[in-house]
Amino acid sequence: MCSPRSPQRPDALAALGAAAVRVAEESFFAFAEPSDLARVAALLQARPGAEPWLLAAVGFTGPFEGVVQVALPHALAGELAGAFCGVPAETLDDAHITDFAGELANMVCGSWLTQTHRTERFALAAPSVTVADHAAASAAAADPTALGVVLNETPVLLTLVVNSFAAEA
Amino acid sequence: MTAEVATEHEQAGPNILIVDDSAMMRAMIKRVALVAGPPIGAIFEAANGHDALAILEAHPIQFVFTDLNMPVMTGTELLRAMKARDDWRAIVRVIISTDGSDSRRLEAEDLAVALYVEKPFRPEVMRDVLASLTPAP
Repeated sequence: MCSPRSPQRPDALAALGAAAVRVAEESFFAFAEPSDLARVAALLQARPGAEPWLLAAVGFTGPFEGVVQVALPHALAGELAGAFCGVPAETLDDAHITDFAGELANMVCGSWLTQTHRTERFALAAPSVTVADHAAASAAAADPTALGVVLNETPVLLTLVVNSFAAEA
Repeated sequence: MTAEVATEHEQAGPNILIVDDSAMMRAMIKRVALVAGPPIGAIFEAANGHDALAILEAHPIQFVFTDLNMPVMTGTELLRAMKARDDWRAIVRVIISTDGSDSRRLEAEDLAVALYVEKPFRPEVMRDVLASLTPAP
């Protein structure tokens, strides 16, 4: 059921993109910008087909409920994790990188909710991180409700599922 | 997963306990504390409030940096347990969380929290936090 406090989809996606940019710039010293899905799809096509991706998801409950998912190449997650901790990326193992991807999704989701609903109270679930292939990332890029972010010239996909978005004015 | 890692240093300074379920976040806070902050004694780590309480019982700690949203025992539950102990009254408590909502901040005031840091934060924020909370030599 639609909560009276549910956000409108375009506003929510734009704010989620801004949160991802803020997290990338403040925590990883990365250059990030929201991008249309056509550019993201083109960047995706240029990447190796066998490249593994990480899908990091965080569920939230509160005045409205949903899930934020961040999909990014494993290599980019390693690069950002290294910048985050101040160590060379090659010294990090899969457990570190998976942990980092979960924390990234947690920060994006939490930052988005705090910036857009500061007076509301939400609870975030523990992040879940799965490994996916290039095809899964391409499928996400084809989802018109997804949002693209280009981070250090690498495509990242944000997906927001809310139990029910408010009707658009 | 318990994560108790003490990093000893030559310099005399306050002992710090970092509580976060993300090992990478703990590593980031630890790095900033060591590189940019004032002299630090030992740094301990815990992945949840339950493990943090065990460390507090076993070691003299002057600063606690804690996340809120953690499995097993949340940061709020940890801070409530700390507030109930008179012998831990002098420990400086800092929340580091993605949740910066007004209600959480209000709750923190009631839990004797000295500072509330919202994630994401720039490393210099942590440096400034440590500098502001550490007595000048």
